[in-house]
Amino acid sequence: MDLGVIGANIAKLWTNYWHIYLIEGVLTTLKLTVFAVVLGALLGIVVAMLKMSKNKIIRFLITVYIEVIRGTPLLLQLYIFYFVLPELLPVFDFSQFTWVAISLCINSSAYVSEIFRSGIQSVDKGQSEAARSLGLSKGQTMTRIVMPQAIKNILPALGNEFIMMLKETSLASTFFIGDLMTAHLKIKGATYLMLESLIITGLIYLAMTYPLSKLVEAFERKMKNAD
Amino acid sequence: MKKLLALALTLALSLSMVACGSSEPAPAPEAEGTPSLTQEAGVLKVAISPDFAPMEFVDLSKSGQDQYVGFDVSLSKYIAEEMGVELEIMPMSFDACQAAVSTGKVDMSVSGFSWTEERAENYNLSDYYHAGDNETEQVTIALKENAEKYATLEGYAGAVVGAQSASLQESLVNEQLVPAGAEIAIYTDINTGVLQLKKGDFQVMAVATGNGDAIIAANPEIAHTGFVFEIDPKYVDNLILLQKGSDDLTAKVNEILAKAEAAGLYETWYAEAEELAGIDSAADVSYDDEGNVAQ
Amino acid sequence: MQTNIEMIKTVDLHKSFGKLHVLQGVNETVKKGEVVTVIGPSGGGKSTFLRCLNLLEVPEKGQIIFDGVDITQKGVNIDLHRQKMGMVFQNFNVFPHLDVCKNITLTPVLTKKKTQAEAEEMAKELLNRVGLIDKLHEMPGKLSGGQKQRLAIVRALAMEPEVMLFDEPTSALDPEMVGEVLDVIKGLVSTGMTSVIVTHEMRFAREVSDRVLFMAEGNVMESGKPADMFDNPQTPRFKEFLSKVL
Repeated sequence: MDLGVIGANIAKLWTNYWHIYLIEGVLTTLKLTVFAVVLGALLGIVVAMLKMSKNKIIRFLITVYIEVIRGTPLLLQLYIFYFVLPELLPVFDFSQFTWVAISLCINSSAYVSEIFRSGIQSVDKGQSEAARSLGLSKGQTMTRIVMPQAIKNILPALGNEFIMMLKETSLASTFFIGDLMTAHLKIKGATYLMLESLIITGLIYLAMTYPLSKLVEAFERKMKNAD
Repeated sequence: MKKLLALALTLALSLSMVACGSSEPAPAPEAEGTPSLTQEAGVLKVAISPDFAPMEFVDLSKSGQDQYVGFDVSLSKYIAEEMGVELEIMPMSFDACQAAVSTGKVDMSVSGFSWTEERAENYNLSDYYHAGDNETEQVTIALKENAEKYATLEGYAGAVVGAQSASLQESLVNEQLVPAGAEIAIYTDINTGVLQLKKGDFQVMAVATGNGDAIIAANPEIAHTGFVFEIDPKYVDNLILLQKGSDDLTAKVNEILAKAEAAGLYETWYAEAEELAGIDSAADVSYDDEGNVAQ
Repeated sequence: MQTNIEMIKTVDLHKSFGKLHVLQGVNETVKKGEVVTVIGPSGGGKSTFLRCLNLLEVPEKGQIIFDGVDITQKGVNIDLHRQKMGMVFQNFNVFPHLDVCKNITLTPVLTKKKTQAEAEEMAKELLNRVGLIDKLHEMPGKLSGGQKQRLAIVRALAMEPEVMLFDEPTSALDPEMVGEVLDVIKGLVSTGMTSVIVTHEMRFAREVSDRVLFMAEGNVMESGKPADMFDNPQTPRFKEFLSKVL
């Protein structure tokens, strides 16, 4: 392998196609990730609340939801949302992009609900005991006492979920959804320069995930010091 | 208990996905000559895997539907035109293309498919078409310094030959080279194969001529060996995948294919595709002093 | 300074944790103004008994009648009743994310008992009484154990409860801080606050109680005035306990 040739090819690819990697690829990746994690988090909160419901049936259904989503590969879920659901539910006339985004969102919600649940449970039981003893209601205890303390654990975990999802969106490239990995597939398919395209794509992913993970670390440190 | 239920649900979902594939045929229109479902909808949906120059790939200077180019894309455009409907290209990985046809998500897939028994059983297959004259040849390529060795069958004794999984080339290697003493190595993606060839995981690689040309254009250290596989006519050409039972659409497509062939369009499309892919035919490739392909 | 009004009454109280039958039919009454301390060996049911009184633990069987209301009945708004009871925990349980002032004023304001301004006034007054006024806007993380517990007591008092429940309030403190907290409690009970105190501090129990309950094996084995109890133990179980702790 001639490193010189590889280097020259990388430069060539970048010069010619940087806009496909960055403007199309990165933007779509970020769009999907933000959609998945933000909506997934909102959905995840609902799921977490439902899991703590007094109703046995609701608890059971939600548990099945969480177990199935967390226990099957994301690729399988993407296939189901892309191929099976549009046939089963033709009333929802979504675009392919929307179906993929929904699948990612649902996937995220199952993991986020666990993040919330464990974050809440990590708060010392004595806190809610003290709050209830004073006469605060369940809701007031949750919003004023438990959640503000749970957030310290929840936010870094959410940050990590975001970083994970950013990489997992690459699976949607199987449908040529337009994300960064799709850009790679298109470019290597047209130029046959797979290795060079892989290197560029990998570096761009790193450029996104590394600063984010440093940010999460810094946040965690700040929370620790505040105690 | 809940794990069991989760497993059951997953199995049910997966099974339903498969079931959707081998479902009952698409609803048949009333009488012959009536427009197919596609024509009523006004759109022909075609799945392709645009990572395979010159058959289907992406013109990186374009975007949207216009970015999809190549022989199969030209063919799809022609079919849509002849049927009087719009064309919608749906890009996805090669495997997903087949699933898309099974589940009826698309009307057909025109993505460099060859005949296999499995496909004949599970899909409607169109008549054969061939991508220009060159594409019908199946050849081997190797690193330039070794190329001569593999020009004849004798050279393959003790060699490792790479071929794409579940491809025509895989069958050919097994049928013709392995009995001559070669060993086969499988890759799933043609570009991975190229890397492996350069690395030395195998000494030769079995490909269609057109792909070989494209690979060589991008990797001047590789060359044609000159070896050509003997081919059973039924493997030579490509065909279109349609949903099992969509007989009216298949018949219409066959009509259109015949028309295209008679008009000599196959050669035209292939030449266009090769030019777009930046490939001169193997004979025209020239090298500069440093051994790089002269642009 | 006790009266004859019944403040809290438990009738045949039973509580189990799994197979462990911790409370085995406790019948007790605490009168308004009375100071009752509960002593006994670990696992005897003292804390469980106390925690039943404000329903932190829910009994399987029995009734708890607080100020004339059976709070074990369905449909009872337990929050309202808890607002009239204050509890102080062994592990303080101060709210670490709120400063001292907010710890105290949060509940009175949220439960609409006081306006923010009123609550702050009261907070300052209470903190003054326990010697913590200079920590008004301090974060609890900066306080010592003894200061945290004093804060916890003040926080409970801010709700102007009718009864105070103390669950081993000094057990988690360094020895040199035990005294400051006991002083606060002594000051409090001398104002006539009905109190139930679970403790290991025998001298303290003798000093402040109107009545001492000795709990072991899920029930009150012996009870009486402190002097009688400590000087003339009746049951062998109590004698055994005293011999070990005094």
